[in-house]
Amino acid sequence: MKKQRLLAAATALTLSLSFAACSSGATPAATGSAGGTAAASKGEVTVWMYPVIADEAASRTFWQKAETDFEAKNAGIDLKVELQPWKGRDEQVATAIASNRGPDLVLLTPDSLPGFAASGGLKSLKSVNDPAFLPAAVEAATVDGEMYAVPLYHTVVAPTYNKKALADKGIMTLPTTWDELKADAEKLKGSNVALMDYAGTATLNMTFYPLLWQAGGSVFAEDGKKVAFNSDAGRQALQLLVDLNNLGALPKDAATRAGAVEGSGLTNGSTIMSPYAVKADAMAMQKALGAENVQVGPVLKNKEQVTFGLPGLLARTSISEDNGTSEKVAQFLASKEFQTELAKASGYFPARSDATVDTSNALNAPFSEALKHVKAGEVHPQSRQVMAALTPHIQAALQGTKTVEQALKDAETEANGQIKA
Amino acid sequence: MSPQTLPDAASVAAKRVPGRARRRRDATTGLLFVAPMLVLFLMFRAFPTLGAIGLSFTQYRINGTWKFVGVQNYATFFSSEVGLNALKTTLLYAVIYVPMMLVVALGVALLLHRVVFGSGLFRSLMFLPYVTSFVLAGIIWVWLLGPDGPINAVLVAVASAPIPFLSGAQPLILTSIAAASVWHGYGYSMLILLAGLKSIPAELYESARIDGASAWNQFWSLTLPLLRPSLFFVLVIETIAAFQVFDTAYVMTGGGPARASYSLVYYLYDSAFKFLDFGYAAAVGVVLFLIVLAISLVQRFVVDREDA
Repeated sequence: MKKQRLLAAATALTLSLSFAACSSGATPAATGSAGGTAAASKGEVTVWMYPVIADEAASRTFWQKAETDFEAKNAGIDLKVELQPWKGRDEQVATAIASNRGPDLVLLTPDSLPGFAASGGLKSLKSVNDPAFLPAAVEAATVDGEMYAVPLYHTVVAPTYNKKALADKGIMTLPTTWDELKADAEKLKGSNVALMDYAGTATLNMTFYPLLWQAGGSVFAEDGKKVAFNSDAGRQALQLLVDLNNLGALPKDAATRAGAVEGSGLTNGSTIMSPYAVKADAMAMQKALGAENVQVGPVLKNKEQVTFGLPGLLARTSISEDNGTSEKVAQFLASKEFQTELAKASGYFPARSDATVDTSNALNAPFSEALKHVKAGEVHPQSRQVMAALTPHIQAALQGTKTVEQALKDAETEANGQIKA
Repeated sequence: MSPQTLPDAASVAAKRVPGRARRRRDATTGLLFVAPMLVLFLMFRAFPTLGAIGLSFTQYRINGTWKFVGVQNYATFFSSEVGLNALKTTLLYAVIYVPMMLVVALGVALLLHRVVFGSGLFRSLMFLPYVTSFVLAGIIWVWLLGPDGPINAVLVAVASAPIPFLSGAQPLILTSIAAASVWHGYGYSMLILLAGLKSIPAELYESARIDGASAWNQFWSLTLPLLRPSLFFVLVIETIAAFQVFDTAYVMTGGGPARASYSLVYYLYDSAFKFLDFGYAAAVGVVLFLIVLAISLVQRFVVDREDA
């Protein structure tokens, strides 16, 4: 065991130093309230939390209160919430787990969780499952029947429009279906205004997959042994994007756009709609365009009405000890009361059906409506590999260097190769 | 005149002892001087490299368990279309980036060499991009080169056709990325070349001018040959930098479109930190290491031969 730990530490050092030697960028630094990141001793639980609450000072205060509240209710357990930056999260978490020096609990995304679980980096949190958790969130936290995380909050994306720009072009009602979307794109043809944003380098969970799901398709086959996107539904979804692009309804740099709202066409009026706006994006559009000119529309429908939402998953790492302390912390942070507070402080939505949604912000109502149609991605150990295989072929189709059929066929071959490997 | 006798071997040896002891003492002193750097080098360069080589023969799981898989990771890489394409992309990038960097760094160094008044200020200004965060600079470059950016706005006004700098053909995308990288990194190479230029004796130029050599002849026959050691150093470090391209592509294009800017280090990064396949990523790193080593040795051989 000692030998294994030494090897783990050496490997982590090798990985981090090798990569540091390769890149010139700065590595992220912890900014937490606690100094150390050593594996927790008995009675001490370390949580790595990220800027879920955007304001740094408010975030620090909120999590310090969480520490105090938890410790008041659980004598003998020392909770340390360490605030980390989003930047470089994957490599930071991977290196920490590999070196056996890091958090007991860490906030993960649904697409990173299966990979960590499959490579033995996580432990079960099934014992703290709660029937009030949103089903989409539980599905995202579960790999091969084992639940590795509890959901703390949920995000959701919904089509958000520059209502004034649309009205200026004579379009007074927001589209609800693909046909209506295409009809609006035809009306805008030649106007030098893009109807819909598309970010070719952003996660497919927000860009392509919702269209695939709306067409009735799925990324993976039911048995998970191969991909299923090269289907009628997949072709329809990609064809929609290509048609919109050919009509000039997508931004000119759609294939390479990274998806930031600030400074994009969504805030300067050259792009009308973001199909994947979260509440913060809608607020950024309101700030730039005026609140009265921005409207959150219904989730688009083709065969299905479905959108993407991201649960914040608090996962238990393989570093955590099997003494029940991590479970207690997870249970506390996923409780109804705590999630209600967190939702209010962060602007996200609770990942439980019994927690109260803050109604002080007018945007919460339409986004809560969208939450009814949410899907938290497709859980698969190779979900990231498959996404990495599919993305360049979608970009090629948008650039016109591949047909829709060829792009999906090539992506299927590559992705299935990844799954077999 | 008394006959001179050769010193016997014993007396020679007796005289040599103090010299040898001094040399040994000098060597020890020298070693002590370089010891801190040597320790750092071993710790942060040599050991991780050896560790990566060992790791490349394993399938390593994040929880610390591992399995020896021999050369399987290497076989996978050399049969991987994506991996080999990343290698080709990196080679193409190096072909574009290295000459661009040498020309820019040398050009700016030559200009600064001629500046007499306020040279320190100009040198600092030229070095400024090097200490700028590339993430920030990359975002600005994306805006500059974007379809609605100022460069294309000028092109549209002048030639009525925008250029898809970051979404066109692969050579154009890599050239755009290389231009941003050169802007960010030329300051370091420029300083090395400037130091090289300063070390060339001014008398040589005076002699050349008296002999009637034109400015071009002075540059070609005097500056370039005498700058060869500095140029070689810059050539090696910039070739290594080209093969390690990652952050520029990550920020500006995300490796796209359609993997047009997906470099070998980007592939390594994805393999390790996105797909958690550490053994395979280490194998990619070792391949990269060997390529860079081979190119550096070839460059050294060529330059040494020309020097001979």
